[in-house]
Amino acid sequence: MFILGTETVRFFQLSGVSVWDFLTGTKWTPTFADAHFGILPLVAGTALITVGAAVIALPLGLAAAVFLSEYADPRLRRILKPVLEVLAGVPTVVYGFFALLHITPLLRSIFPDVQVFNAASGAIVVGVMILPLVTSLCDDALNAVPRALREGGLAMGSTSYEVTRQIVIPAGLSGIMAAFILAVSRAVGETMAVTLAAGSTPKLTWNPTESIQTMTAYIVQISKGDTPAGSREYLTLFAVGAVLFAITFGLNILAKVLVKRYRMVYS
Amino acid sequence: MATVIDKAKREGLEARDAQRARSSRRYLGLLTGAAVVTFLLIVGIIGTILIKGLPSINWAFLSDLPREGMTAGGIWPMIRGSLLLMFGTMLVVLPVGVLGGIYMAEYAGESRFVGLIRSSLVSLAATPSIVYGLFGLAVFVLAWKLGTSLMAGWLTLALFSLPVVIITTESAIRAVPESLVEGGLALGLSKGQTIRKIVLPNAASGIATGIVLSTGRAAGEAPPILLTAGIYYSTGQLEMNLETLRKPVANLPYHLAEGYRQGGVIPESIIWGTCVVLMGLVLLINLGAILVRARSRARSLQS
Repeated sequence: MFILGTETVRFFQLSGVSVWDFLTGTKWTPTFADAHFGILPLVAGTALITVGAAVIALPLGLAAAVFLSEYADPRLRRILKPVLEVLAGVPTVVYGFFALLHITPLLRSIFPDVQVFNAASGAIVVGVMILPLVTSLCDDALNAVPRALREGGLAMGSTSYEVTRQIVIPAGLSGIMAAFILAVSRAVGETMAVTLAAGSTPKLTWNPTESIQTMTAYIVQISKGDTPAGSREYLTLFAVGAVLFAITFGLNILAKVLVKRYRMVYS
Repeated sequence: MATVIDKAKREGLEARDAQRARSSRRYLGLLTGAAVVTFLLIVGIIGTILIKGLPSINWAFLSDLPREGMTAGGIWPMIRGSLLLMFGTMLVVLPVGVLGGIYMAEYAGESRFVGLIRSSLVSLAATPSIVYGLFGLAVFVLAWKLGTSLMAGWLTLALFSLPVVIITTESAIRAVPESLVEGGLALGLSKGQTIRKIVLPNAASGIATGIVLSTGRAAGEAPPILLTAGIYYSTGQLEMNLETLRKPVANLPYHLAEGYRQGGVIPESIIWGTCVVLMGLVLLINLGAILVRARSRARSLQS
């Protein structure tokens, strides 16, 4: 019975990895170069959304986390922390509709040449979507900074802001970076919100008012039609999926390495 | 012998301190502002959705079948499908995840290989759900020939929640005080008995929280269902037999994901109502799990 448990874990890893290898590597070599060039607009679309979302979510989330962990009343923090955790679980389809039906009309009323499906709207909504995650994780990172460091700073006559900026944030920096990377990886893998808001036009552009397509949106688009197994379209799904997996997996490993280094400093 | 500071120097220092206090207050104001903006943004979005969606929710909306090409009527088949997906996922993930967690906590040890498994589990937990959807499509739907079906959906969603369940089970088991385990062993129980009679009952609420939280999240994820189990809508009655397992199932996330493609056929009020139902379903489950966890934490602190 216990072997069953580990077998599942192992099966999960080995087959997961080898299936990607198999489908993208051997079967598909003739068109591999072609697909490689083809994927760039999708990667660019994903990058556009991710960068936009990060610009919104990272500074705001960090500031809110500093407020929560350094200044807020502990009672307020005890209430807000579970609220953040619950909000991090709101289904992303819901955010997608919000972007399509609210953010896009708003953007269009300010900038008339914004298209119905546009990257900006997707980026904004993904940014808001990862905000609770960024705030909660940064708050954890700041909380892990030993109290003695803060007290030392205060005892030297620093104001609380000086302690936060010059002691707490540098001390928690690798945890904060790890939180940022995890949030970015969530934004990269985000599917429904960007499919709904950003459209399905693969395009190599940095203009956020245009419709673009992300890697995830492409997978949704192709898989919705009845794509026959083994066809070229079917295989591109897995090629794109593998790239997506590689990017997020790499980001997650990076975050883990950072956290590990961070732990070693204070243990 | 007191150090003498001349007047000019003292005034200079006081001015600097006042300046520092002012800038400190200014930045505190900025931080508070950012925190307020953050919460307003989140609450604003959720609030707007609630305001738009709540008016269309009533008993008929929840319990009726869709009518007239979904421009009227209720969304019961989709709610039913989502619940069905969620409970099935829970059933599949419970034994595998809990056994995996027990193994990782009690038997795996600390070898390099186990360390590798542990880090891959964490990375897999943060892998986008659509990657699991693709995996489910390739393995369950096509290779195992399950087709687009409830069964394939269960397995895919179970796989998606498995890493989180294993990780939370492991930490719940590790949180059981060592003295309890040693007490059991000292009374002559075997390791298996100790785990069954002492460790699992004490870790149960932590394990349950992990399972509920992860399946709740899985139930709200559209991409894996999109690829493995979904149909857009259903108006029929559900027949409770084995055939149902091999049929696709209508569900809330897929219904919403497809809803926008109908280009305004579905009235906005129904879309918002469905959004609120899906959000409410997932949030209620999460909230319940978090409350259980908070309560059991408080209890273990008392004892």
